[in-house]
Amino acid sequence: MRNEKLTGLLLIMPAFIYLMFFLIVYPFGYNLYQSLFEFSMLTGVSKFVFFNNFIGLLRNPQFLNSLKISGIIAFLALAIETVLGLLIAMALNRQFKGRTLARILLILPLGTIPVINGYIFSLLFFPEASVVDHMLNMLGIINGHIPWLREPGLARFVVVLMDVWQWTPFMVLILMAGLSAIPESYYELARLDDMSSWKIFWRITLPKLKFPLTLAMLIRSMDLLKFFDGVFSMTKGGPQSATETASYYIYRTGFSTFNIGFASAASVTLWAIIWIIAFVVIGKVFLSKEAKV
Amino acid sequence: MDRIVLDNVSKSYGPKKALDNISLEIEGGTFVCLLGPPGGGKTTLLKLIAGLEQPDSGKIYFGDRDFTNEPPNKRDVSMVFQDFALYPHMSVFKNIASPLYAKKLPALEIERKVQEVASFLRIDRFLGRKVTQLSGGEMQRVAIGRALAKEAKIVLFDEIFVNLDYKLREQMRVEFKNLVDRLSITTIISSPDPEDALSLANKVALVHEGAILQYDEREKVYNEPADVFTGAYFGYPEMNMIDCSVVMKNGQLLIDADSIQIPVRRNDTVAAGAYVLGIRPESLLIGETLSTPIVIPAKMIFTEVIGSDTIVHIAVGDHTLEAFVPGIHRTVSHESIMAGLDPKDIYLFRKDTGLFETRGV
Amino acid sequence: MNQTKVKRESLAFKVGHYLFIIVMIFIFLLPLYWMLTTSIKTRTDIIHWPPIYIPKVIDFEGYVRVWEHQNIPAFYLNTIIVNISAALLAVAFGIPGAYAASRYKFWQKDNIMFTILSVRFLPPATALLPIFILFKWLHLIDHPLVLIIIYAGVNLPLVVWVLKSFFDEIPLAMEESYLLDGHSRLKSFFKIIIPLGAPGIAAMFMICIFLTWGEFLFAIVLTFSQKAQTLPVGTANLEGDIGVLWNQIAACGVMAAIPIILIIVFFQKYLVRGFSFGILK
Repeated sequence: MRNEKLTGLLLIMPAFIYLMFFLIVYPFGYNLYQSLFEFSMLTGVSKFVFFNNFIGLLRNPQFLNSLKISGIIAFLALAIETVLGLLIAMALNRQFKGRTLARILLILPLGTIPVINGYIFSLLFFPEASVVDHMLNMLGIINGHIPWLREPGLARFVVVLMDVWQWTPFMVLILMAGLSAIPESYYELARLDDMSSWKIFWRITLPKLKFPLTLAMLIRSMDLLKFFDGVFSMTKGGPQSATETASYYIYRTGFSTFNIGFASAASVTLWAIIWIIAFVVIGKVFLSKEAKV
Repeated sequence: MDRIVLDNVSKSYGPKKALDNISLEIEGGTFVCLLGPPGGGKTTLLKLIAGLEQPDSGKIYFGDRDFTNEPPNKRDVSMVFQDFALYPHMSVFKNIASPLYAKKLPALEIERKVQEVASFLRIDRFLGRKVTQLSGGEMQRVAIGRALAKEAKIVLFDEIFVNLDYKLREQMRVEFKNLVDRLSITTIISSPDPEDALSLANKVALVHEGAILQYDEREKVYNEPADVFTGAYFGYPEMNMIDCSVVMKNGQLLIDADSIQIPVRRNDTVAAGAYVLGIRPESLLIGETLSTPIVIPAKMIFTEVIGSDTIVHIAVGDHTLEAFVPGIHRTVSHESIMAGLDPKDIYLFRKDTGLFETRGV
Repeated sequence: MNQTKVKRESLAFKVGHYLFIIVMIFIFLLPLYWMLTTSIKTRTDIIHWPPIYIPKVIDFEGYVRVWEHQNIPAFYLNTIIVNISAALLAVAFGIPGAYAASRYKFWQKDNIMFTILSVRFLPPATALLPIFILFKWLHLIDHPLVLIIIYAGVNLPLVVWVLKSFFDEIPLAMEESYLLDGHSRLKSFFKIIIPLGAPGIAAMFMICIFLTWGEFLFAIVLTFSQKAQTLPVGTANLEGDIGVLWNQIAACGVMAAIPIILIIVFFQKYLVRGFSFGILK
């Protein structure tokens, strides 16, 4: 490998500077700066309030609520996507007729537009006219209607469902790639040893999937904490803020109420949280894998 | 033709020191074999000469010009890589013509030269094909063709026989020798196989653990190896090494290795002391009755057939020795046999330094 | 005895396996099917109890309306232009970066690479305000360029990291050989890396389009007219004071989904390979 330190640096500078500026240094700097001020729409004057915004934020029930909501949605969605993703990936891992077709069909949701999905799901769960209700009725599971989007807990569940619908295929893709990396010989040996399917899964498949699984879960959890689009089109924060995620809160605070200082403080906080999680997890994953760049 | 000079060159990759302060002078037109076990620094050396790597310290000269910092495309060097490194998206023609395109030669001349090289290597019928359609041996010849097309005065070959199977290797060696003899260039090949050095090179450099143990004419390295390692490595099978001491007994020097006792003819050959006795397997004769000056009683352990020859493992007292016997022989183990040796085939290395002392007693 | 037992287990397992797949396909296709049918239902059929699974009356009013009266064609065009340009930009900036990451050692390499990756941690909402202020100052609000720049930035980290692993797969010896033939480093980049890396680059290009196709947050904040608005935003506009124009929204959804679905169907093998291969590394 040629060691021209300068050339290498020059080559990567465009990408690096581009990103650093537009999406890291500037936004972060701006947010940090603004978070130290209180901007009043009435007077148009910014008053330096030091960390008041942050303190106010930590006391603000709505902000804390939005963090909680983001957390709940992220956790639930991640859990379901991982388990379901794993099941589907394993099901698609065997050879069977129509496998390619099944793969294509199951990947399709990934190509949809989240905002529009929000509308579609609104329809599917529309009060008193929900398709889902109808099907559940037909299956004999329930009788009548469920107030999906009117009940806080249920509304959150629908939001989770929407994300699961769109993003499980992502998990499936990554896990399929991971599964295909496990040589057939492992399974053959296990079968010769007469291992039960459960054991095979636990002792052979799962350990080998540790890396892709962790990676996929990391990417998904970071994306989930940024959840916005579906909330905007489907629930607008939901019945009594039940689905107001952190991003939605920031959007509302910043662009609807124009409380810029507050929104900036919230932005900084959210960013810091995601950063810390990512840093810790990546550190652990990379330290154990010793992946050198 | 210019000589290649490496002056106190060192190269490290991270914590690993690949080459440690080596100096080497290769005269133009020589055929050199860099011989040594894997990881010893042979490939690094080649890369430094080619300019694909830069030394951490030291200088590299071609003639009197300092080329240490010159990029590879400015050096008059060609290289054939171990895995050929052919361009998969180009045809055989384009692969061979690559250096000619770089020289910006007119199309007609390029056409001519490529044809010339290709027919020389007997691959002209492949010129239109994609390289991925060729067999291993054919691909190698394309790689060689590409290197030759450049008409560089220095051509490097990095372990090119390693990827070939046994039979092909023998065949390629012969063809290779013919090839190189017809060109007057400085050739350097690297190889872990002493056979390559023995059959092809004028001069051999033993490269081990980042150092050059010896750089000499092939015969000299064979007859006067620099140390125990070189003596053992440069020969197949490896030289038998036995710890011994040289003592004065009844006014005569004697090599004493317990069950092996060999008188030394002249008392001024070596000083008394601890030594390592070296005997090449091909110098050891096996038979019922032998007419060699030295005859040692031994017991057969087993025979190992390699290709069309045999390595006979024998026991002499506590020592196990290997003898190289042409032809295929199979014998019963524990059979008593005689091992014969000529005193001029005995090597002595000092025990403390491992360095060569003398050959022939 | 053992033979038949294994066989029977296998059969039940196989059936269960097929059933599972079918149920999953059903569940995952339902919303898409619903979107399709909604786009061609009459308004009264859309919200109906019991739900109408197979519309008896087909009404293309949704599409008609959307194409003629709602600026959707403009939005559609914008979406296509913005996404393709952003993908091109991301690839253009990303290739040299990926090449550097693959072939060179340079100062602070690990840190720089991590920083590039860390852009993915950014919640779009947090960058909204600063970006808005910046582009307002540059007078670029409501100009397609805004979204192109932002989307390219969003995709850059992925491009750099994924292409790096693609380039890693191209043997260094090949470039070394090309250099020894007498060509310059630059030429080796264009004649060796690019041709051999082309499949990966093409896959990344499509993945970039894929990933920002439905982007909403930045679009809705940074644009406000048909000059630059994209389809997702246009669709959101259909929810207004009059009520939600379901059939039009669904029509938009179908139209927006078509290019993506085509890409998936035709390039699924490459996408899957490129996507997972790159991500795994």
